[in-house]
Amino acid sequence: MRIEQRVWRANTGWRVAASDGALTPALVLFFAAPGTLDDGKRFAELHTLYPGAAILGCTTGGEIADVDVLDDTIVATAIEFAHTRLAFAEATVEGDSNSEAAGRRLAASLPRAGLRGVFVLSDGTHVNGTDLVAGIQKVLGPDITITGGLAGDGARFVSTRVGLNANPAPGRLAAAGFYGDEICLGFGSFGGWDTVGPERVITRARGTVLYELDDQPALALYRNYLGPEADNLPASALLCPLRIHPPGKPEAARVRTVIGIDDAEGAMMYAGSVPEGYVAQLMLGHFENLIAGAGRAAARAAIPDARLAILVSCIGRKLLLGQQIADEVEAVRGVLGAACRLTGFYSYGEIAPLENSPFCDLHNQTMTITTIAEA
Amino acid sequence: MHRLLERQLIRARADSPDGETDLETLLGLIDAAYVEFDRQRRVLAHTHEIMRDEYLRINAGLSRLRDAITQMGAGFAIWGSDDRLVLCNALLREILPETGEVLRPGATFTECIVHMGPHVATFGGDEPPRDWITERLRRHRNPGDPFEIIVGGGRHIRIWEAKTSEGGIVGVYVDVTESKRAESELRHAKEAAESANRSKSLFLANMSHELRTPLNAIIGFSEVIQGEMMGPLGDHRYRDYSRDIHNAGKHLLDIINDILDMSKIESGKFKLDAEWTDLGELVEGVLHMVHARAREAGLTLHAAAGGLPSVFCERRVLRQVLLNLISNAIKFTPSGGRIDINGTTTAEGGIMVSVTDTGIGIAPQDIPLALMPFGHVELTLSRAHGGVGLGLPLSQRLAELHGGRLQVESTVGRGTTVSVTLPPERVGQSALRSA
Repeated sequence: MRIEQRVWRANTGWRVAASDGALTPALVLFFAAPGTLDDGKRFAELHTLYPGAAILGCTTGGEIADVDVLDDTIVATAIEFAHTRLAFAEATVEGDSNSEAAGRRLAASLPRAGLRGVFVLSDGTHVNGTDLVAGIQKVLGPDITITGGLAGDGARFVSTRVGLNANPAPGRLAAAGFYGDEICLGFGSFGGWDTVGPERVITRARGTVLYELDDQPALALYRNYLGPEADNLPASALLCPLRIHPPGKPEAARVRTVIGIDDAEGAMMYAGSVPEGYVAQLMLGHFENLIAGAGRAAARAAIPDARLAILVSCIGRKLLLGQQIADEVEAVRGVLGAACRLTGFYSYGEIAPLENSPFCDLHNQTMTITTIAEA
Repeated sequence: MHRLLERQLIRARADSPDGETDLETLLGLIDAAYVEFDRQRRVLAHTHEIMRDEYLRINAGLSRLRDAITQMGAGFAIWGSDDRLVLCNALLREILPETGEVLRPGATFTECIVHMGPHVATFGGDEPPRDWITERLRRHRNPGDPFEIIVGGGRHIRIWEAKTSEGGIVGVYVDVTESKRAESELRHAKEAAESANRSKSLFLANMSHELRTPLNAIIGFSEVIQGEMMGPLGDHRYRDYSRDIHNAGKHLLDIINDILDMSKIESGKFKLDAEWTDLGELVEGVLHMVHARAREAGLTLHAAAGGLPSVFCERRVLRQVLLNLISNAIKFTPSGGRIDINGTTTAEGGIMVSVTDTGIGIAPQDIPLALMPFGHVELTLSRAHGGVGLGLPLSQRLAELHGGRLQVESTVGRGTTVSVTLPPERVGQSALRSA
């Protein structure tokens, strides 16, 4: 397995950041700042640079190239596998209501024989991530490792793009399937946020839209928690993730992140489902705990001889940590070591199996890592 | 050098086409970092405020819960998932003094129960204390329906336990000794009242029989005297007196028969002797009996009894019911009034006979009283009209014995309609059925 990583900047164009020498990649993964893909030229350049490779990528809320967290760039990682075979799939998703069907369609177009793992990228603003992952999982079953993330749009939450062998476009899903006995995939997901205040009950919600907590408008509660940051809604809502769990089952907790607000209804829109009757508790971030959390995700994802780690980290973490966000990537590097190249992006939702469970789910506000090695 | 500044320097070099540090980019990154620090400081300060507010909110909630637990009118305890007492209220110690000093936070449930064991009588049965402890622990670990234990001094404690979300047990303990006692007294009082009522009915049934026997002599011999069967009486006043004796005797016999029927019904001894009866003929017969009385009272009687079906009833009883209703109508309708007797088929296929008068009527609130045995005597209006007030209630019971019902509709000053309805199963298809 050999890797070449390039970074595109407006000032410098494409520059090689790291290379294992001339290679024939089967896959080029790229993560692009919103706006950089608009003219279609960057995609064409990648195609010229790596002819014959499948090119899979999305827009982001920040790009990761080794220990650097970048803005306004494109990070492309070309991967040549010694033994592993790949297959690709794509689908469209038209909105929250049919996300599960879209997930099923995507998964159904991947051949099953020898499939070991799937890396998924999805539109980040017009999808119910929970349903999408459930749809994929239904087709693939519990034995296949499913990881990935939802594309980003900086902190704007307007339009996100995903593309496979084409310039990324809104409303797309794309996936790479890894085949054969030689491929080794690891994964780890961890947040590091702290719950604050009393547990509240979700008293009114539909799908991914939350209206009321303890019979009070959810938006009013967020405004109170955000204080001076309330003016920057919806982006600033990322500073207060919501931890939800079925009543009496705190072990099945998930973290949900806001992707939009509805001022007229006093409602919040989330990247995943917020079922009525669930117990909810707001969370706040603490720098050291978030950074330590990234390290814990890396420890879970660590596999022997990992050559590449794809980091999908939540935009909310970057929003809180600012330029110090690179600390969390360095924490990952500290665990995985210098031989493991890092790439990734800041996302609107992370996809990985649940801890201690074969079942996959959508996560929010986490650092989610997929590690890749070939035996 | 701070690692942030180190990164900013790297970034300022990477972003420049010639690989030199771009001062403008560097300053931009440093400035942005300062702005971020300010924002993070504000967020942190606000977080601190939120934490304080939420702490106060949670504390206020805890304080309310503590008050509720202290003030509630029942013993209360929460046992943790390790089965140790987390908290209990003072009332629990009052209700279960048998637990003594053991009932303290940190004590296990088993300790408390073992301590209580010797003072506990039973769950209501009489198993020895050792089994009691085992059984009590089992119920505690698998909480279900509420149950009672009997502790020292025969006090009954009702226990309700349920699992908490953390895997412990929450328990509510109520001393129900007083309500148990009151419940038992009430039950005894009810049994005594029912027994007294049965005795009364039995007494009345027997007494009525005793009263009827001499009346037969009075009625029979007064009839003999009136008929001058053994020779003329001489003074015409003897004949008048003997007629008065005869009428008074008949009236008394009617009252006694009513009381006897009512007593039989109330003691459950009234047996219907039903047969197919031509309802039209029955109504005609009753009309014939009351015709003279109606005329004397200055009333007109109108009956639409033609084409009535045969009904399966006790003829004497149904005749008595109709006679009662028409007699009442005559009694409560001033001279010049009118009484209508109608027979109609109900929607279900039953038959309804109604007696409508243009009399003084009954106020709505008095109708239930008029239907109560002897309730009649409470009604001032009817007191003036005499009678013991058994006619209407007796008719209602007799109708009900036939599976039917009796209904009263009335407007004061306008008149009253009393209807007797018999169910479809008592109505024959044709006159042949009665043959």
